[in-house]
Amino acid sequence: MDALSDDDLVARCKTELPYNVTAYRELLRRHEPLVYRSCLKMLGSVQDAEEACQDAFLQVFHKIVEFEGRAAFKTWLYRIVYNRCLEARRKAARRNQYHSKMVEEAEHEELTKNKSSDDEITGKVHEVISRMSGEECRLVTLRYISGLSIQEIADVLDIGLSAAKMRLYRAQERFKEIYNDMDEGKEEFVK
Amino acid sequence: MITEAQFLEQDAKILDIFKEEGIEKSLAASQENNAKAKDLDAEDLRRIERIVERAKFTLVMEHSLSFFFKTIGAGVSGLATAAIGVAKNASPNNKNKKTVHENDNNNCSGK
Repeated sequence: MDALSDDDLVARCKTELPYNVTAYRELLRRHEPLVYRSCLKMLGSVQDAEEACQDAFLQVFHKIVEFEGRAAFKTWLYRIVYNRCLEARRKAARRNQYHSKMVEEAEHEELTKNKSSDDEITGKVHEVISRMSGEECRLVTLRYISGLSIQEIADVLDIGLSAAKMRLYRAQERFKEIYNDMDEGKEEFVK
Repeated sequence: MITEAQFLEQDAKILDIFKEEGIEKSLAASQENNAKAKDLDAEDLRRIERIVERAKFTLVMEHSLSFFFKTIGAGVSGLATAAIGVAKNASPNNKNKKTVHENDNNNCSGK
């Protein structure tokens, strides 16, 4: 299975699913950990991240037959993930709007707990990402945690390459600004 | 307007920050495009198995619901047809019509 490319696995999934999940499981083993970490950074909550990640891969399970292969599988997958995270954010915003202060405090506690338990990104970078707005946070996550190229980000967001670059540049500027604010005592990394 | 060089320079600097903070592992995995199974920890495997189980469960649920509604649909349709048939047979108009037909038949026989 290791020798097969993503495209080969997708082709096998199309013929074998839903009765044989071997190829699907291999796709999960290749992509799920990074997708989960990306969701975690975009959503900030373990529970929401797991749910969004599961939903995204369930959509892959049910819709892979319709995947035409015009874009790379990774781009298609991250488009689904990105939309799931947007949806989860909206849900969380609605939930926060109606919940009492006690629930908010509990969620904040959970978030703090998750931050300390997450060993992938530690310290300041995590703090900077959590302070960024939704769009900026998602762009930085796609670029530096999911490791997508600019072209792939453009495909995921369904925008042009130059527009993606411009949005990412703004997100980088914001990242830089927050990072430097937090690190006033130390040497600034970007002038 | 930003230049390509400016963008790439800033991109590289931020990438360095992420690497310094310890995410080079995930970035390398994504660039390689094949995060091999040997890199997965128990928690990753647990989540993966949960997704597979959920996928199978949704499939079973879909099939069961589909079977259920098809069966129920066929049952309801059969019952409805039977009920309509019974109602038609039981209606007084139907009885009258039958009597008329019977009379017609009697008349046609010429007896």
